[in-house]
Amino acid sequence: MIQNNRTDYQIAQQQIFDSIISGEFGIENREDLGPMVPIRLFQVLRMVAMGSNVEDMLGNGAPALVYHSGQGLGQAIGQIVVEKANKDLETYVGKIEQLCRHLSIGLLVPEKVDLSAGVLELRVDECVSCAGVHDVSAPICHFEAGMVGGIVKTFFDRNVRATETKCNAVGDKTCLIRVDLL
Amino acid sequence: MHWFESQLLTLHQLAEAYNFSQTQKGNDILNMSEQGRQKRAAFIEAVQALVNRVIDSSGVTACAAYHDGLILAQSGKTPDTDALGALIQESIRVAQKGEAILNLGAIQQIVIVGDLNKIAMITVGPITLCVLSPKQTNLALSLSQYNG
Amino acid sequence: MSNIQSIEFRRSHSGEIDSILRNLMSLQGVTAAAIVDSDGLVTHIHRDFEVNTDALGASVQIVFGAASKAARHVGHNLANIVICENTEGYVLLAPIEAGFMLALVTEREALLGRVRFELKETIPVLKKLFASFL
Repeated sequence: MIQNNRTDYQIAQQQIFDSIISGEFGIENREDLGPMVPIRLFQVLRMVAMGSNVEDMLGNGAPALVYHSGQGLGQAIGQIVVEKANKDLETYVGKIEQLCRHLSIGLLVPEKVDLSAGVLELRVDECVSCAGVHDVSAPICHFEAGMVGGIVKTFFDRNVRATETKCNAVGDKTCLIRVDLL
Repeated sequence: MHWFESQLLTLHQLAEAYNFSQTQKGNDILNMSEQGRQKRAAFIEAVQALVNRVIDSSGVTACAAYHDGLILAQSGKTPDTDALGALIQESIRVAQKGEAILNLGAIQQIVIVGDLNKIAMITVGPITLCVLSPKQTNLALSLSQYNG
Repeated sequence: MSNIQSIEFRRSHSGEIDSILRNLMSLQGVTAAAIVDSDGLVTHIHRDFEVNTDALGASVQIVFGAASKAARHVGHNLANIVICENTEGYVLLAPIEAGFMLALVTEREALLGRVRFELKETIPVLKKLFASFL
């Protein structure tokens, strides 16, 4: 459905982002159950609805879709934060860390920042997507890679390539995302 | 050999040269890539040039070149290009059946003559050239020399 | 043999890829020629108009992925080329190697057979280039 040139998904997205920006996590129509859901439910949405089910339809196109979705969220988060960071990378990353912790996305830790080489590496401990997932053959947190890419892209206003080089689900104990500024 | 035949011969030679460049083996990928591109461009540019010149022949209303039933070059008043592409593919498919039954050899030309107009389809390498004209046009005569 | 290539080798290959894209752009009606990696990132692009490369790259992988799945569902094995016929032109997609894709965007005036012929003939060359590059 399209209302005022916006689809229903876009309308819902706006409401969700507005709620995140305001820091208000109380939510209407959830008086009894409250705002939190089990992480496994999130993982069903992420690894099944946006993972294997999308893969069934898109094959090798699935990671690109998931990455792009994560990038969209990263850019939205970045937009929220960038205005308050006064173009200071440390402040920006600090605020992103807080937001990621607050949203239980994961514990974001900058591992390496080499701006002369145009490379940043960010660790995501306790990654919401792959915590408790084991024995996969390759990194699977394309959403988080895209999200981190989107966050970095927003700050530098440059195209980036974000690649997950370590993944908890592979057995690395943490997820590491390398971002190359292009 | 008249004008159009000599043009077709040149196209055949260019198609052959391109085809040959594609079968070359070796490790010099960069050079082979560039050579292939140049040979292909030479062939396609010659196809386009011929299509542009055929339209100058008396009685010819349109000329077009197709690859796998899709338009590649055109001049003059080509009718529905998609429909013409479908007609060419279907005609070649039928002719190829005839090739097997009658031992015709590889199909070189197909001519369809209607009450009003006619179409000649000529195979040149991977391309099919089409010349459209009114029924009464003597294409052999008309294409025997360049009238541009 | 080591799979580590010198920077000069990579540069010359990248230069050839640029030449190939430039050649594709010279075709009548072609307005963009891009190479997209498996994550949907545009690695090389020549274009006549402003385009959101992130969205283009993701779309290329998504559309080709869906078309490949559809091809398998109907027993057609691999998808070789995907052609999107749009109101204002065409988008043609073809796989190269290791998830890389070639995407061409054209105006309506483009001669589809000409563009497709060039695409078909270019893909084997790009496959060789990428096979030695990666």
